[in-house]
Amino acid sequence: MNSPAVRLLLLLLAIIPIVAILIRNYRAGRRDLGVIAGRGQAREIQNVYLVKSFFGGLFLVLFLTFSVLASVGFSWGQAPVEEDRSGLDIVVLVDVSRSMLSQDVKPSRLDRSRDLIRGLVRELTGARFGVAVFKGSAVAEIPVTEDTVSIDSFMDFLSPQMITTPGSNLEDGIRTALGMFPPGTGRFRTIVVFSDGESLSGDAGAAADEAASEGVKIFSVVAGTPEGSTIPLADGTVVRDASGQPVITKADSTVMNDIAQRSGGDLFRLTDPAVFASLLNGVHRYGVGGGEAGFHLESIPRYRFFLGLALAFLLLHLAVRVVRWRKLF
Amino acid sequence: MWILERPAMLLLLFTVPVGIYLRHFWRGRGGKIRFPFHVWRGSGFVPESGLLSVLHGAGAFCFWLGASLLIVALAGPATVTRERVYLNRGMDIMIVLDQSLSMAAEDMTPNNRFDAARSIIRQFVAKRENDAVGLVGFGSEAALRVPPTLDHAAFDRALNKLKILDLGDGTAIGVGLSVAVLHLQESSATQKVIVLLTDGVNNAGEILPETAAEVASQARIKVFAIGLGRSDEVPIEYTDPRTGQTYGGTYKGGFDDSVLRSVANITGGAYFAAASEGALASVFRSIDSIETVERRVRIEVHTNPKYRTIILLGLGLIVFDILIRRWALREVL
Repeated sequence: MNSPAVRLLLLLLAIIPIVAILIRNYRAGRRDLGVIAGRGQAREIQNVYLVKSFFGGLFLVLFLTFSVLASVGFSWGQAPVEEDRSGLDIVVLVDVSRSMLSQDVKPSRLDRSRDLIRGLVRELTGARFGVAVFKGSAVAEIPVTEDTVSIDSFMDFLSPQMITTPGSNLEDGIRTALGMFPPGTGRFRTIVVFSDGESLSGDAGAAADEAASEGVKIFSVVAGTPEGSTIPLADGTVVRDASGQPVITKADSTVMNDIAQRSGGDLFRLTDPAVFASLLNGVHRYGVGGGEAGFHLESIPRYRFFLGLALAFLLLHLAVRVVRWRKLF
Repeated sequence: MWILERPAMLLLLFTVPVGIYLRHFWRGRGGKIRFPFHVWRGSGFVPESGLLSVLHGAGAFCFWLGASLLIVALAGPATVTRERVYLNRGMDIMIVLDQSLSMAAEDMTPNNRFDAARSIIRQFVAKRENDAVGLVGFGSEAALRVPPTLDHAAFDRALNKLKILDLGDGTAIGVGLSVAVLHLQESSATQKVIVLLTDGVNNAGEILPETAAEVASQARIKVFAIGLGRSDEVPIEYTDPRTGQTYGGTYKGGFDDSVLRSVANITGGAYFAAASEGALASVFRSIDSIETVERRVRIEVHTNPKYRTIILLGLGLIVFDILIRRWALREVL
């Protein structure tokens, strides 16, 4: 539960009909009290009723508001926590959908991704790597291992033919990658995703939240350009849609950025000439504990602040009703 | 397991019965008008019990249950899981398993040699929790099935997929060993071990077992060589993976103990002969006891906060009460 569930703020909209009910009840109550109290006390009771209704309603609305804010899980400030992890396990998750053959990044999105992975394996000595691929479904191909030879050999086999299920189910990919980290290693763990981010299916955000809760960071590498390009086939033609028009595939960083942000990772673009250096630096920094020897910083959850206020307002709401004013109401 | 991060907050629950008394039972409470309401010499007004009373009671119950849950949420409910973390690096073990036809010989009751070997390997690996284990299969050729990994589930999956004759009908012991050495030599483990299981003589491949053993020795890899099965005539039954057809008959042959002994000696390992499943199990027990690395373990506790669920549940119950009282019962305050 590290990232705030901002979507819960939509619950605040439920306060509007509740306020409408309170106003309706106030009008009906004022009229009824006038009748019940009789001429002698009607005005005084109605005045007390007005004040009580106003403050009772106000405290109720404040209670609801702060309860919702508490459930969102906001945090601010950071506290140093002793770092007891060392070493780095990396699962490389590669999108092998057909759009990865597009050549808007030379020689192709998939080939460039392959080069980057080989570079990471070469440079990050001491790290252990695993490989998973995804399309409409995901497959764990190489378990997390120190054997760089097997990773390097496997890179030659990366192709859209590896999986027949159509689509790009990133959620399944992330969950498969998460399941590949061996337990009990006490190492930093990260998933490096290579994808064009196009037409991704599944709830990748939820999977990224799960990764974050397990202490796994996701580094996203967006393969391709926003302008996009056609998808070449082996016979030299390009992929066409039902109407015979060439299919243009465009890189979309929206979901890729979202999963990186939710898990505390970072976003990189394959089109950036310095992408390898940036990615290597990002992953390496994470693998040595963010550069702070022996410690890392953790966000301080603040839900108690909001929940405490909410309970205080609930108490005030009750007090307004329970305490009799001017011995009248 | 559930825990509370700040259990002292639960003391606030003592305010709940006070609140219940003040709101529902205290005669001097506000929000009501006092006036006489009974006929001359008659009894006082008593509201009939019915649906409205039930709703009122249910609303009050939900309200106080919801408020209690919010107090519990303030105490920081969370689930904790404990993980055993190894502080030191274990060893790397590569299992090199013969997949040739003769491994179908049924002299290891109730299984054939191949299934008996797989079963014992599984038990062996299950005990090597902190050791990376890899798998190489060989017949006429050899192939890496899984690189050395702590993901023992991946190892088991690869082991289960192995089939007799998948890599041809020969016995390329040297090539099998070489593939294992190739994938172990870059490992940073202080101890690297190959466990070779075969029931035949090296009759395929261009690398002699002794040559592969020399390379292993240079990479400081020990080889434990295990010769499987009996040398007399034994029944055999196998299914050809290419045709799916099952064949049966008898088989007579044995492993070359001098080569296996030599491989073990060159690398500083050991040679074992296992004629039965029980013998094979004791061989693995011996290897298990010989090849050990000191294990230093730390118990890591992971906390997963659950306050969000509890808050939403409590909030939902209180809103339910508001809707009953203000919308259904039309309470004015």
